[in-house]
Amino acid sequence: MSHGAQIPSRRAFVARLWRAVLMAVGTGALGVAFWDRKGPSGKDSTQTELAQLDYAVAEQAGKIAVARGADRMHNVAAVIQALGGMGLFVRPGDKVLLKVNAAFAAPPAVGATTHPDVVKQVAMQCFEAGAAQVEVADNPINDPASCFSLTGIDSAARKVGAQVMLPRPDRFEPYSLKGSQLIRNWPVFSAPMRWADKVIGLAPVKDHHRSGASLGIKNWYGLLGGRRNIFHQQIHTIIADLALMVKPTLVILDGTWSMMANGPTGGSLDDLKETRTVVAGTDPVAVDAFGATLLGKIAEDLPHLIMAQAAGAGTVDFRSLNPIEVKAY
Amino acid sequence: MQKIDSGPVMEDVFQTKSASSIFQHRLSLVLITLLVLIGGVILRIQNHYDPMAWREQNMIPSNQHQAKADLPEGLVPLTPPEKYHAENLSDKINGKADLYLSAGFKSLESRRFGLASDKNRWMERYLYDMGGHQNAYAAYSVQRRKDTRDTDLAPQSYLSANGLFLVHGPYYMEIIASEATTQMQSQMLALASSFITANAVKDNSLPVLKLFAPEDKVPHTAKLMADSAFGIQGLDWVYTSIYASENDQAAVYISKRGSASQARTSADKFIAYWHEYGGESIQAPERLPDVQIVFILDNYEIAAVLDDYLFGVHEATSLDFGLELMLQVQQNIGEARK
Repeated sequence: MSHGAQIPSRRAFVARLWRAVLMAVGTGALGVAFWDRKGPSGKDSTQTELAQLDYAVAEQAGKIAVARGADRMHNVAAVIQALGGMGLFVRPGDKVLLKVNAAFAAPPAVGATTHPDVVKQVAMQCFEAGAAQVEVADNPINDPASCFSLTGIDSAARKVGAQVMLPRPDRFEPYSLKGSQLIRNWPVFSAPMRWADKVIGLAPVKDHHRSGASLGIKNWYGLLGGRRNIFHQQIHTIIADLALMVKPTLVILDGTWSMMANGPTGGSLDDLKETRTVVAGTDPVAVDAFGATLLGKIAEDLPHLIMAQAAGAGTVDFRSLNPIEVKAY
Repeated sequence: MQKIDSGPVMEDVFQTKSASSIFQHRLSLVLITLLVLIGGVILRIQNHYDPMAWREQNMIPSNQHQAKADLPEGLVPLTPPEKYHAENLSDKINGKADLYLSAGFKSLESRRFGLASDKNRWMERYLYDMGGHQNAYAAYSVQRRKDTRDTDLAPQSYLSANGLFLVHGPYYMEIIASEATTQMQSQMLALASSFITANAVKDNSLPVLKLFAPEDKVPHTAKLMADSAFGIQGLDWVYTSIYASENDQAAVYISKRGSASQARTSADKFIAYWHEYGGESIQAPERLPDVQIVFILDNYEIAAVLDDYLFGVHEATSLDFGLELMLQVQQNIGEARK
């Protein structure tokens, strides 16, 4: 009788086969369970809630100035001067971040993005005040390199010695805003914020199809990563949250030409109106409330401003801050 | 009696079992290790979110265009076409996506072109496939700029200082130039013209627009509201146009509903909305028994029905002016039916 390899019995074979099938199905199920099609959803996590990104200069709180004129660069220079000069906001050696709106790969004339002249003027003033470095940043909606190039922002920045910080993946980290239901474990373009000593927001005055207006506070939307368009369903809430997330050193709102209709992308020069105004200040809610008037609106037309005020981010009553009004030549 | 030597048999069995067990054991270890590695890789990928990864998905190979397009002389493509669908349209146009989505949007193909002589002077073409001619008109009309000039490229087309906007079949096209010059305007017209030539459509007409009387109509105010006309939920696909005389102003509206009963329901909804905000019903003239009128905030809202048409007047500053406009529409509908 030959005693070679054991041939398993039929029962043992079937048992092994079933075990193999179950193993395969189980592995597949595990893979499906791990599959996250939607990406970060901002659900609550065990991550520690972070406080506000605060770059304010305490002694300059509650200031607002308005410059009126046809020339954008003169307007920007005049409004900063009216606030007391950039030296009150930027100290020698400071690293300054200019948070621009470079959302779209659109030419500067269209008014959908921060005008390069504004970037140039503010960067120059920062260097004159002794800034060690000036970086320009945004997480655009369209391709970042194209946006910074075609908007003229990159060229303007480099001409005066500033640099653009592109939103590379390694420059994002999950962030949760204390008290926010939306900004929970959400990827935020944190690298420039961590790098900077001072943060200046530079935004155009624009109509917005969803929120009614795109002004200084909405500019911080460009710090969000991920599939941030899901926040459009709660646009006023997210903008109000952004007002709490960032307390900038200064906000400059460029209404030399304002996009009165078809925002936020616009497209035609006929969407623009020459409103000849630049407003700047340290209360972002007040600055936006003033900016709304350039669009023929009041703060009450923009629920996110009322919500931001209620949350303590500032006041919509910009008149109570006694704006300094100057004429730029 | 043959002696059965079980020792070697048992040894053989034991050795055979050991050999196969060791092999199986090692094979199992290898497979389990592989599975653990796969699981680890998946975990790593899921925890590393790349906020920019989606961008590349929007690029489409150049041989996958649905619409044919010939490039006019003097223009060169600067970028490959980008394609967007309903779920990622906001990745391109942000908050404006709703405007298109509510009007039947199917897809957007965008592409940048530069002057062959100077690529720093460029334009971007946005080609929205709206799924139907009426849908495309809706997207076009609600963004109509006023101080612009019509072109003869298409019945619905106009040129601004730096942009060209038109409707062609199911497409709504925007071409935005980096500068406002006559040379760029010429090239935009050529680019649009080449597309129109390469993509013939059977019908570019909008019959409802012909129902609006020409007299006193304010140019370039006609529009088609795809949803929530006048802020009224459920009142969709409503054409409107502004009329102004020396002393009065009003917006005439017309909407073809699915049936006569739907038209009556929509008329009731229109009137009920104004009542909700404090409007008062006004008795219609005897000759117009089926017309409903509400007076609210110093204006008149009028609703009427003829077959499956809902029509009327919104924010008329005087009742006589509003009724006159309404009757003109009624007459036009009646004649169109013959």
